Amino acid sequence: MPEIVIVVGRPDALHARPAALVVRTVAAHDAEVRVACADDRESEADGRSITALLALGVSRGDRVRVRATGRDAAAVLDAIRAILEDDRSSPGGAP
Amino acid sequence: MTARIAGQAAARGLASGPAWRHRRGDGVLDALPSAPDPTRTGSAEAAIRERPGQPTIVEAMRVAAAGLDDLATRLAAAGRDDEAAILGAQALIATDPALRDAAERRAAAGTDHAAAVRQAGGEIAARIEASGDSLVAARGADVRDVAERIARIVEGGTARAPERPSILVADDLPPSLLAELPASLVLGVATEAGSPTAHAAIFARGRGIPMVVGATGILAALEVASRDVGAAFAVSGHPWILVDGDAGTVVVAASEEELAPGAGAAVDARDETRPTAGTTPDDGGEMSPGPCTTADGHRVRLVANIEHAADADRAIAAGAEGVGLFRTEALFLGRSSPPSERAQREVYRRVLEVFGRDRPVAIRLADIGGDKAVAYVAGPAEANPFLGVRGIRLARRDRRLFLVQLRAIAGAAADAGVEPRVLAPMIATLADAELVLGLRDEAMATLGGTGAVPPRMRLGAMIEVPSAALIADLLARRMDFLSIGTNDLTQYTLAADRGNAALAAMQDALHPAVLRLVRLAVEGAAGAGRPVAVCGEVAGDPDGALVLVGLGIDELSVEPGSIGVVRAALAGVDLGDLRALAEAALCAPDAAAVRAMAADLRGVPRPAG
Repeated sequence: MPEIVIVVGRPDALHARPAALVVRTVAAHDAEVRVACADDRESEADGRSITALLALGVSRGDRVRVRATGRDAAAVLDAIRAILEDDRSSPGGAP
Repeated sequence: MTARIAGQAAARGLASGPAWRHRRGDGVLDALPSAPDPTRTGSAEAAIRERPGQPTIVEAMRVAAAGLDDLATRLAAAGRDDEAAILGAQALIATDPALRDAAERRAAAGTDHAAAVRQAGGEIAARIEASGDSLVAARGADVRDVAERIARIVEGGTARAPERPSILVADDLPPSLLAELPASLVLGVATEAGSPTAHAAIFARGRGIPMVVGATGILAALEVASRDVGAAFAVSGHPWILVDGDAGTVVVAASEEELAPGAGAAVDARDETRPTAGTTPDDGGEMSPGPCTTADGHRVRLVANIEHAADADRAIAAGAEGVGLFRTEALFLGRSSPPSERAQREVYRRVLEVFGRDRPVAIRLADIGGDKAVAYVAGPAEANPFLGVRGIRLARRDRRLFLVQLRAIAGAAADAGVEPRVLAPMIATLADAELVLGLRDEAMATLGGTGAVPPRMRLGAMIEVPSAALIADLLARRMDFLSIGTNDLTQYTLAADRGNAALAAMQDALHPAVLRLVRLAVEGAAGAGRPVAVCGEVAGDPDGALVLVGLGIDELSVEPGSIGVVRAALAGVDLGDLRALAEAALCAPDAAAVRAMAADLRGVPRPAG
């Protein structure tokens, strides 16, 4: 199963706004995605579930392990990497 | 009467108007679906309608999501991007597979659908709140808000909204409510709980609606104002609220007439001990309210019961001197495997750091099993889960679970530079105490190589089983402190299941039988020179606080919202009178009689019934 490790560079890490972005991105691809804290194998979250992603408690600078299966596996991994790695994105108002 | 209450400023401006009390479940309602969802492929049980015309859980979720998306779109079109983002995220929560599964699981087990959704929301919110990051933890409120919306759609309740422009008063305002109510109806907002960074505050600021949060005591003050006989003769005859979103204060008056200029200067007992809150949303609000004492100067420690990192700020703002009970079940429930040591350590560290060296925190080992079943420590089905393998008894089945938690606590304490204090649940015998001591020693011994070694871990025994109270003197010699859990103690002592509605009237911890066990625990602890606290609900009840202090309890651990009320109640009485009250209570015929005595001492009207 294709898998990547991302260092979360966004100032707003995996708070509500980026978590929502990830969920919508997963929904737009033909793939199943799992996200976990790189150091904590037991914490895997379903990429379709915003509450599971929030519950991971990821902070800026943390590493996450993202796995994907399905037709668009590679594309969705690239898209998620782009969302989470970017440390130039402004967090805006609400986290 | 008027009462001036300090909270935290959340949205600037001044507003006054009639009070409108928001209760859970009020608000605008979405339209019901007219046809079932043709793409639904989930469990057959949840697809069944409980009643003809009632939406299924999944249909209700779809309707809620559509309503929230629609609101989000309208807000974005109006340029309110932050609010649109919040409601957009709520729309995703409304279709979250984890929420759906949790609700359907309960519905399939027989729970009524609306309750299943609410419980599922609570479970998921707790998991998020336990994640340790306070910004993320605040999203738990969004999950509860969405679950409430879905549940209302399922049960088809009637909407309730203010009929005239009003000041909204609530315990905590759901983020979406301000987005739905016409702005003209909302003059201002005052909440008992909440924080300036909460979503509801963002909505208020966006609309220029003055808002004060964390106004501890406002709900009680509003109750009193509503019963004020004098107001019945005033022209408006309705409680009136002044919200000062710049100073972060609220004035509650029994009528508009009483809210004259200068009425804000009227001070009640709460205000004397209230710390001055910060005036900007960023102000951490560090304050020293002064020690809690009786009228004649007897010192009582007031600490908080907390469940999530997010409760910590509230507790400190209310003047808590520490934490008497940090419940950790949220970390363990609703999972297929136990939380890792690292994840736990992170959560504990954050809480310990917030309270710091001067405000000790007692962390309770996971009180799971029994009725709080968990897949990874399940055993054979039990006929009486409350009398089964729960709490510390689980350590005989899964030692590692507790070793990991103890190491996480010790490590977190070392990280935070504080002394670890741990509470063990369901202690019933000396063997249970020995078990905990052995676990502690083994955990400390195996902690070695992971960084700083923490100071000695202090261990406390929960006194919630009658046998523990009866041998409290023996337990106190083995443990560092005792903490009385009156909720469970009451159910075990009176042999009345807490969840049995037919026996609800028996669940009063002020029953003399329970008080006699509390007295035994106090004497046992005193004999060994150990401190004993009470962390059950009754400690946060003014009547209860008086009786307990009279019995010799020196530390009360209560919900943050009750700290002000307890402090005020104790400030009005002498210790000698409390001791006399306690003696009389031990021989009273029932809990009602005890409450009547306490009410007399406090100088309030006797409770009805």
